[in-house]
Amino acid sequence: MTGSTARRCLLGLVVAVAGLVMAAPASAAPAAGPWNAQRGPNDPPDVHGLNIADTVKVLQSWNKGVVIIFDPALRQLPKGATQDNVVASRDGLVNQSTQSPQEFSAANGPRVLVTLGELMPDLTGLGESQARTVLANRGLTLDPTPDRPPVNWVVTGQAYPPNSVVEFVPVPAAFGPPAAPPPPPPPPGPRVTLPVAIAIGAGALLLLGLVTALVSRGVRRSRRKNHDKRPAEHIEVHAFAGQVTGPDVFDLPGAPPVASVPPPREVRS
Amino acid sequence: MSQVTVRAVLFGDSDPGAAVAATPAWGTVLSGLGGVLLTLSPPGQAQLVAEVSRAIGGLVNLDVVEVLVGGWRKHRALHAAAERTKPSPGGTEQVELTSHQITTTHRPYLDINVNGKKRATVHFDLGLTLVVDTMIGTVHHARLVAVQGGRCTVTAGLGCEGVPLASRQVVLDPHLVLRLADGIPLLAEDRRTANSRS
Repeated sequence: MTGSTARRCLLGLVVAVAGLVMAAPASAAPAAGPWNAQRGPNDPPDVHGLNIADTVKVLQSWNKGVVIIFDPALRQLPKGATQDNVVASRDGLVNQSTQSPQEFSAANGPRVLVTLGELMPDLTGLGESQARTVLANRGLTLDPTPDRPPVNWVVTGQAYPPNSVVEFVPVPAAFGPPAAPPPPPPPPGPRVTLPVAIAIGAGALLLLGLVTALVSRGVRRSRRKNHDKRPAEHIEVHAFAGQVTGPDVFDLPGAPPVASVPPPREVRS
Repeated sequence: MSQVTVRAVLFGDSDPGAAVAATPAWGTVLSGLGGVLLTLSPPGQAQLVAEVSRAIGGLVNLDVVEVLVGGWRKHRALHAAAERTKPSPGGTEQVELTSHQITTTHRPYLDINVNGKKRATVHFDLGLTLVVDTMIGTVHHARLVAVQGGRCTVTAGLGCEGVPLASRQVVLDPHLVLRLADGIPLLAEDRRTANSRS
């Protein structure tokens, strides 16, 4: 495992944990299934993932006198979120005394609180600024890991999968260096049928034999050529010592006279 | 005596033929052979040049130490000491020699035969000069048995037909190159005896 891969795994783990922690209070989206199973016979129907119109339709078909309370209120949606792109995340009965941001109906029916959210976009491969823009277009904010990712880093993981319903909380996303593009697949080799392969093999053998013959012929010629390089003449070089003078010995000028113990007699060789 | 040749002085570990052939003066040598070379086939010319350069290696095998000792044998002080100490087996003298110079000149030559016929002679000049610093030689029973001092500056030169080919100077320490052992016989008759024994 390379350092880059290990770092990405660690970031992904951090994002996952952070996502679970942050999404815990607003875990309507992933818990939609179990909620259905736990709903009582008098509970309103699950409207998870439905838009405003469908949510109203479903709830009113459940009880015509229903009082629908949206959170956040439709008039106070975060910037970027509109009635056209928000969806219901979860819903539930609330007590009569609950303060409601907006009552859809003035009737005295059951009061249902519908928590709104957005469909999560796919942020993978986007830079920080791109990811923030995409999220802001839906009223969402980014919670990057690390806090200030380098400019060239991209989203390598996000806490909520694409198209899941996420409520208006900061969306955790992990950033990392962009992955190197995968090497191009090797070009498909030519398909060779058996007869063609046999023919190629035979041709290669023939070529090999031809080359061997040419090389051996060249070697023979080269040897013959070297043989021809021998001189036609018979040349001999004899060395002779010649005249020898010396060795002769001289006292150098200025040298003091020779001393000897006992004093030497003059003898010339 | 350990052997220090003129070849080693002039060329060190290099091949003498190759070293000489690399000198500018080698062209002069070849031009001197021009008369012969022109009569030869190209392979013959190449062989002749190779043979001559190889033969040069054999011309420079002169032993420097042998020349040094030969000079000392002629030195009158050492010779006199040898004469005096020869009659008495225990006779020993110490002789102080002032700075002196030993020279020798060799004029080897190469005969070039082509198809058994002599076609040319190439003459070489090999000069050797040894300048020996002041030294004290111990002569025992006509043999040089010890040397003190005597640093030796060797100058060797090789020429061909009057053209210098190579020249170099080195300094020798006699203590390192002389193997005195039982002593070096200084008198001619003793040398002959020693040579016949060996």
